[in-house]
Amino acid sequence: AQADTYKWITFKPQGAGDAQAVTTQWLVDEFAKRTEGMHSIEVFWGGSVAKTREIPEALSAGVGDFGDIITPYFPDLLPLNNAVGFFIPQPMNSLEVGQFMEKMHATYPQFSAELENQNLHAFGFRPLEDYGLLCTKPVKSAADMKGLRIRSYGFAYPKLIEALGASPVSIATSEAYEALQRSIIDCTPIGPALARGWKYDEVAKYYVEVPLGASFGHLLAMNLDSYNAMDDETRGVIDQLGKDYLVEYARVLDEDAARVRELWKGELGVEVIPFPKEDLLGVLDDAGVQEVRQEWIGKADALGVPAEEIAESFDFDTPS
Amino acid sequence: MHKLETLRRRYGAFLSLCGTAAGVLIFAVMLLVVANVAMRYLFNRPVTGTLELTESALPLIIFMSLALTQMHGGHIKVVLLTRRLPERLARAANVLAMLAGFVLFAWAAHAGWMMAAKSFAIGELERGSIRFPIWPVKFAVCFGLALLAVQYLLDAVWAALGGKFGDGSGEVME
Amino acid sequence: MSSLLIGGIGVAGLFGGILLGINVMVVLGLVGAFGLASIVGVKAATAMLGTVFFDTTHSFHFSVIPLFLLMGFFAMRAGLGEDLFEATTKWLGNLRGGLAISTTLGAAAFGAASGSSVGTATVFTKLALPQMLDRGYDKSLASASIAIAGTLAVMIPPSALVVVYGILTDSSIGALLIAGFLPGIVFALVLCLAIWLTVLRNPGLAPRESHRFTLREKLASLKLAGPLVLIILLIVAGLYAGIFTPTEAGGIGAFATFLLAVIRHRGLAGVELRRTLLETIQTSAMIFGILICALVFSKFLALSGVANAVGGTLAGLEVNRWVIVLLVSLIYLALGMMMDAPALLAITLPITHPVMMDLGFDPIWFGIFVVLLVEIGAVTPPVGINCFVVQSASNGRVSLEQVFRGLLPFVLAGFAMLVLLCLVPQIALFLPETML
Ligand code: NA
Ligand code: NA
Repeated sequence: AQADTYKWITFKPQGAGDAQAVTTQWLVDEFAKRTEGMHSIEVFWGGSVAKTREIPEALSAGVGDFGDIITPYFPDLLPLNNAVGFFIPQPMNSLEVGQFMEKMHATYPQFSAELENQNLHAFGFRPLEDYGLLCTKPVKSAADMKGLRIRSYGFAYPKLIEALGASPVSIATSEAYEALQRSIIDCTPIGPALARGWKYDEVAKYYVEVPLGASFGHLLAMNLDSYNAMDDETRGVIDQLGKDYLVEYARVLDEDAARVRELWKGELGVEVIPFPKEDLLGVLDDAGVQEVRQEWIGKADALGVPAEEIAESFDFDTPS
Repeated sequence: MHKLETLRRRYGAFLSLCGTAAGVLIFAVMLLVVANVAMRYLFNRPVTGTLELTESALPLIIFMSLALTQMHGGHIKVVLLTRRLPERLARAANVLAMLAGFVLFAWAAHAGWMMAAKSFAIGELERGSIRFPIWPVKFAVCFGLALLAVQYLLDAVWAALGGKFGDGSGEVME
Repeated sequence: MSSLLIGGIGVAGLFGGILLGINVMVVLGLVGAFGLASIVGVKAATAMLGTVFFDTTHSFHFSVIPLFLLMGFFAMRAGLGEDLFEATTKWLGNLRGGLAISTTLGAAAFGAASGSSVGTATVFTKLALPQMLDRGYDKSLASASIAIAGTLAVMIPPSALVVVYGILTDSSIGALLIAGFLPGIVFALVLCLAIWLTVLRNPGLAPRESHRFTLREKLASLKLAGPLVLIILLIVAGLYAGIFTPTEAGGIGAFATFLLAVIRHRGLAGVELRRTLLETIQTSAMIFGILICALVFSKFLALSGVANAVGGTLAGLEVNRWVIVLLVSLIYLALGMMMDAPALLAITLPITHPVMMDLGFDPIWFGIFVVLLVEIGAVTPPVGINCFVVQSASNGRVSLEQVFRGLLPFVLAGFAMLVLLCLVPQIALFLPETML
């Protein structure tokens, strides 16, 4: 067999130093190690080849062999793989969301068929961390949320925020820092590691533990032709690496979150506020929230998967 | 030559119409942004959908104006070398330059068409605090690219027949 | 053929195409697309062409650029340029090279309402050039001082180019805009000093103004500058004190200058709304056309490995980090001779920005530094867009050669400003660091 150098196109800057960047490098190193230096991956960092919204097309057409797809940007292109995003809040943590995606792909061929239609193959899953609400003022209950301006994005947050009696404000990720600083928004849904990464915790000092759950996330994807062209051994290495990646990523993510929470206690002075779970669960019956959930169930049903049954994975256990 | 001149003029009038629409749109975006700030400070009720509408307006504004800008010679070029060439060579270089523009933007329009068609097929939505289909904007981008390709083609034929270009708004560089 | 070789051919093709008189936008896009096709295939190149136009413009951030441009055009219609020039000449007209100095400071003040260096150069060519020439100023001194004064509008907020840097490098746009304020003022003073010294060496270049204005006339002229103070308060204070975001500053600024124009003309008719809007969208189309095509080219450059090779070589040099700064500056000055500012930023920043960050430089500081570098490029021959603009707005009263001939003292002043930014980075960093 001949030695191949694969191209990985990513939006992530190399120096980002967060769990996503660190584990991408880990994966690249492991790949070289496990193929005994036979093959390697060259990473094109920081969107130098394809920006976040260009990656699926670029990958599908073979601009790169590997890439990370921010799934929630493509709900209409990849409805099945976006399942988790329609169900905010949901009870699973990061690792569980990753395992959920693995299970879906193993159980229902429709999940990978949706990607194959785009000439893509997912070999691994990168969920985001558990989200709470980072605010510029203390929020202790759903009653405190009335009238707050909360940053919203994607397809589930707007309705959820409205159901909580707050107003959803769409703000670009890179403008959210200034928006928090200038009281254009009062809160944004986020996890500790990302809050630190974007430095939002410099300007918003209350982290409210609203149990929004982990969201999904990124597909570690390959150009389908590049995947099929690999010999069995290399393909086996990739399949296994995808599984190992989730474990490694979840580990680094937990470490990160713990480190940030220590920083918050110390010099950064971010106060962590508990939030009554029932206040959040109380709004799940809201018509708007249900409409978003039903939207996914409708789409998924049409694609031939038992949607109602899958949706049960997102039910919170009723408190006994 | 006379027919071509008429064609160019009519086409230019159409491009001016597109440009005016784009101008109205940027003015509307300005008003929307101001209204959003005013509503936020005065009534604590920002205008829902400001971000989504603003970001979808920009492609329309830009791609409805690209061809008009070319018609007025507004895209930057360097004629340092070509203006010293003898007449025939200069004309050849000009035809080549216009054809290059035609090739690029015809290719881009074709590529844009495929993306827009795909977006239409999956019923792609702009999703945020308000929702609306995004594929019309993608078709508009493709349309704007095609308009520019046609303008370059007209200019290539015009240059080949020995037509001259006015220096337009003065942004053609010498 | 190796990718690196294809990359090299592409770079050569870029310069060849530009010299052949093809639109810079077209050369960038075509070389980029063919380059991509030769490395990863036609299908892949088509996919990139299919996404890049929509995805680059479908952006809330980027809408600040046409808004800043609109603000500048309305400021022109509102006659802010005339008022400022009148006020500064009353106060400074009697100095050595006083009219040129007044122009520089007037352009700096006008820059607080205009986001484009080309626009500012146009306005002051129309206003100040005839006055200077009629009073016997040397053509080169007069025209070159206007060409360089235009660049002040890019340092002082609002600034479309600074937004481009912020987006390409994911830096805080608000902080960047505020950061340019002091360097813009300092650079204006450095330029005034350069004019003063030039005239001191050769008094024949600029006859002394004999007409003197009374203190009453001088004080009265300050009133003319009133509306501008309002705009500065709105934009700078709005950003600095945290009342609105950069995009909102663009919208509010455009609206405020629109109202000023309506007031000045006592109604909509004199504002020439349709013409103003058409000028705005065409300038926007020009900037975005170049920017998007430069992105296609820079994707090709990245995939070919040329970008990594250059960046890796720079980062791997075992030298003092200021030597790298010097090398980076020389690269920008060399490319700046050939290329337009947004294109230059789009092509180079993916290479230089990571290198500078690795060396521990502040992203905001580097933003201001690099913007100054590409703005020096905006006046240097052979492609000095500001000089073209001054020449074409002069109605044939100066030739391009005359503009270029007057540039030397101002390019030297630009170098002095670069050195000053290196010695005292606080000029750029003080305001953003104390921002609320
Ligand atoms: Na400015
Ligand atoms: Na230049």
